[in-house]
Amino acid sequence: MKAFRKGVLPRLIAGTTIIAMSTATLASGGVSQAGAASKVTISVAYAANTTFDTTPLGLTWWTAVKKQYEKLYPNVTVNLIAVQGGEPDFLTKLALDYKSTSTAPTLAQFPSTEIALYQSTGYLMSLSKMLKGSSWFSQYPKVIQNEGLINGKIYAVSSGENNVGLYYDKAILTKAGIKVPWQPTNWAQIISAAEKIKAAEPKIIPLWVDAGTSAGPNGAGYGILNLLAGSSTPTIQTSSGKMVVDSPGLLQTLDFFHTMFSKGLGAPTSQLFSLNNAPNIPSADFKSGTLGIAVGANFLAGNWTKQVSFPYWPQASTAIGIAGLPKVNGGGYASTLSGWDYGISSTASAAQATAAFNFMNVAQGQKFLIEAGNWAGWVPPVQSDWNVPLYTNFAAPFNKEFGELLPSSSELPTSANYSVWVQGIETASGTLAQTPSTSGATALSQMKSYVTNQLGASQVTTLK
Amino acid sequence: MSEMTDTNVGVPESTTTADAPVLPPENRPTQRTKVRSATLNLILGGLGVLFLAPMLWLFLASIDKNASWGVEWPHFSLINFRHVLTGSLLHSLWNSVILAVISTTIASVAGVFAAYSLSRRRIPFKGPLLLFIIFSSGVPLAILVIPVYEIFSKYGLLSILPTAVFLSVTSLPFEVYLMKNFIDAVPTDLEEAARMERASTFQVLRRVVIPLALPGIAAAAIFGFVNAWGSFVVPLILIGPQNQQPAPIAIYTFLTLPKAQFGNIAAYSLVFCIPVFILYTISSRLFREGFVLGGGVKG
Amino acid sequence: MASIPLVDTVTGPSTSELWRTRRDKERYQWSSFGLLTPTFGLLILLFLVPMGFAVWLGFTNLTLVGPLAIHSSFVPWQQLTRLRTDTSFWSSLWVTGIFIAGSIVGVVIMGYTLASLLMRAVPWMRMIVGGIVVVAWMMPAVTAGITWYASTTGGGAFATLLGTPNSNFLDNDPLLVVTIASVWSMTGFAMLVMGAALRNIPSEAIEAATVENASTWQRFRMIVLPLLRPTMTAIVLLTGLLALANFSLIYIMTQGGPGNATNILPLYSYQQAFSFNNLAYGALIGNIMVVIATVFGVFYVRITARRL
Repeated sequence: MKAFRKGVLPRLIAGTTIIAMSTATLASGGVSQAGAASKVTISVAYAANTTFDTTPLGLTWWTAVKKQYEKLYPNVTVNLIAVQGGEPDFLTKLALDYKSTSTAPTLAQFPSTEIALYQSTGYLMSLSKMLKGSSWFSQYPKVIQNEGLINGKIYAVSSGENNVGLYYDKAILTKAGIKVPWQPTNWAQIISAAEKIKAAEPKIIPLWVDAGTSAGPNGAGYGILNLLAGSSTPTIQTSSGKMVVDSPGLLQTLDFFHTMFSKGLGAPTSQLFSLNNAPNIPSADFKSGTLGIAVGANFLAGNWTKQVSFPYWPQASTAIGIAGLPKVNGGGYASTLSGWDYGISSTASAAQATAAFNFMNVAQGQKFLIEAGNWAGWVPPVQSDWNVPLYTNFAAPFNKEFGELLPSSSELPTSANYSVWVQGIETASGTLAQTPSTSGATALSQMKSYVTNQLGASQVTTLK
Repeated sequence: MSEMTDTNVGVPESTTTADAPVLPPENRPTQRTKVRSATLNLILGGLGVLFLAPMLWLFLASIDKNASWGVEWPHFSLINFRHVLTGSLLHSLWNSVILAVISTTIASVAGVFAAYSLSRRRIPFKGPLLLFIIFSSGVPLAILVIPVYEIFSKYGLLSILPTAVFLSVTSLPFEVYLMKNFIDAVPTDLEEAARMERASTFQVLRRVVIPLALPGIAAAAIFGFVNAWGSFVVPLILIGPQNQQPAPIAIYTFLTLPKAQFGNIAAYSLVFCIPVFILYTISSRLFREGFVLGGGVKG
Repeated sequence: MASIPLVDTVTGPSTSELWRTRRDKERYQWSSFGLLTPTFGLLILLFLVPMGFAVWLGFTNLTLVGPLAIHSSFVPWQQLTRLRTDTSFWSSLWVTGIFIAGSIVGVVIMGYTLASLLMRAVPWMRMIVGGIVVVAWMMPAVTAGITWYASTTGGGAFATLLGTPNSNFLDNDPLLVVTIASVWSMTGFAMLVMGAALRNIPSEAIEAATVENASTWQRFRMIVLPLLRPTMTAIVLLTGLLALANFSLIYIMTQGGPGNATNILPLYSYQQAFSFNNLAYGALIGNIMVVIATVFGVFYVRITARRL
């Protein structure tokens, strides 16, 4: 990591402490002051294997936050609960833990797609009051602030976001006769660029977009859903809660996939359906020079840093370029937005809730927040952080560019039916990847019948 | 090694070269039988290679510094083993040992009693009980885990020892079934003789039944051990603390890492298999001599 | 078995005492229940009770999270209707059937072939091949899954050995590959068991048949097969049950995919319960699996009833 600018570090610590202590004073309402209160115990649950890029990095970060927190609040005992397993296992475990008061974690970090679910079950406490005095929350872009907004109250706050853009290999594009820096303005230009790459370099993968069910619900968020977000009807779930199973936007998206795969422009299924976290494979492919363009999330850039090394590729900063993912017919960029959020259990006592909130404050301090972003592949939700060297110097220049792309992103829906819907669309994209002769319309009708069958006709709708 | 006579015309297989008899002319191996024998061995060898093929990756990648999913000539190195035999990974192996040993002990002891009882004694409802045992073998684990989780979490039992007890229950029906069949095959005369000497049930078990049915009991116990050793879903959900997780969880975690450390996965999987291999070697004698499941072996 | 007390000719035993020592009717040995206590105690507590809970659960609409996680209702008819109209369930049932049938056929054929070949092979070949097959059986499902994944995925062992690095056997024929992997991991047991049973076929019978000029096929059909039938039945049942309950192997290899191609019932019920949040519906599917297993069991008991 490049050295800090002089004087930043002491100011960071001072700033964090001031924020933390002032928020504690405000939030506690005078009930408990640091050092004067009785002993409080809180539990903090996080996913050990699927947030930070490597499990040891995660452990390092959480231990550091805990140490810092315990220094500031010696009367609080923190139990760090590192929940093992892949993301589905983590979610299962967390859901089961929330069921009983004795196992419910005081503070937990979970994907933003789960917020509405936990809130509707009554597991989460409203944070609106506590956030009133917080300086960092007000710096979130509105769209990220609203991530946890349900019925006028905030139930969860983001600790980091993923958004998506286009990565491209400058050398390969130049060889294919495409001008660099490249910024396509509509989908057709992406396809034609991929065709040119295929003509110039037949042995490499022209275009990578996640397809299939192997990567779980996240895979769609890093791939197909970003195209849908830029289509003419991006709606996935209507305001009444119905899932959209047929719309012009869906057809456009699946047609795009059909074009991509039937022309041999997409990645092989051996990579797309890979067991090992397919969304990260483009990092390795780019380094070996076998990939031209990829629709990828911001964390791909972090993979090339020394800390993460998935693989380590110092030349990435000059070899790869970033472009925003354009909308289908132009007029701006589109991307999905999903993150990991903190929530406080509704069964926590007042003292515990305060302690948990203070812990959140420490974790959201600038240094920790940016470190988490760097090591977990997130964009920090605090807007001003996007220009801080700690962030921009990590995975330069990509971090900064993804920060700039963040405002054009839109949130993914959060509901129980969403997981079924995602399975439907991922199966459709997987079918297109495996059997390219399938038309977009056929894949769409398969998805429609699957989701309708699973959820029932009253839960789905068609858009014109 | 006791051997059946070869079903080909009149060719006794010699068991050792030391006492190979001089065969009369009509019993010497003919050209035809030699070819037949060679073909059989060849087919067998072919099948053996087919079975070995998937395992190739496991062996080659574990000693390969730059392993991938493919089978390639390795850059020989033992560094993968050094990676996996340290720290928390080694600890996970130890947790697996605890889990499997405790689970097997419970299941085998309870199983022997039950199997003996079901085999020898006239018990009311024996038919339905046996049916129940067979029935329980087929129950899917993933469904049982949730209610058991709820029970365990209520009483604070989400750790390695109660999980071992639950694992014993999952292999219990099968073990009872296996053991019962073996005990069925043990002749009762020795037992009756022991009883006439006024031996108690425990003594009968200890001195007569168990030694005679040992191959079967060992087979069942090994089944239970392998079952618990390889169990995955159960420890994942039922064991809370990270430092009590057994090896399969560690392997699974390996797989879900973005950068697949192929060499480490292979090495760790291999190391994970070794106790099972050892068990097989120890008990292979028992297997060969005593495996009598099913028909035609009473007495 | 109690010893007969000496009959006291003066006072004589009471009628109840006489009844107790009757020798013409075998009594139940209630004391044996003591021996059964540990086993059945464990089974009742950690099996029957959760099982009963799962049965009840299958007829509710409990979810993992969400409003229905707190206030669920008992709606058996609704759940059954859902099962009836769920096309994924029926396709999962179909896939499970193919998987089980394939596993059984594969295991029985391979097991018998290997057992009979092993008997006539040279000793070192017997040791090596027998060892390999049993090692394959003993391999834990997690490792077997990884091994087979590595072998059949694109760029994996089989692909590189056959010189076609891009062929992706696993994703092109997922059900076939998974079934082969399942057979591979279960054959060892069948081989051992059938080997022992074969060894117990009296050699005189075989010799007599040979003297009567019976062909190999006739020898097999008339002598070996009938004597092997109980063993084979046992193996069919056990293989079927194990295949039905298979989870880790397929989960590691394909997670039920691509699409629903290998989504056998255990995986589908797990998906419903945990990925789709429908805990109760997943339990219902699990209960169906238990019913299927029971059917297997009933068949087996029917066939071997006399031996109980």
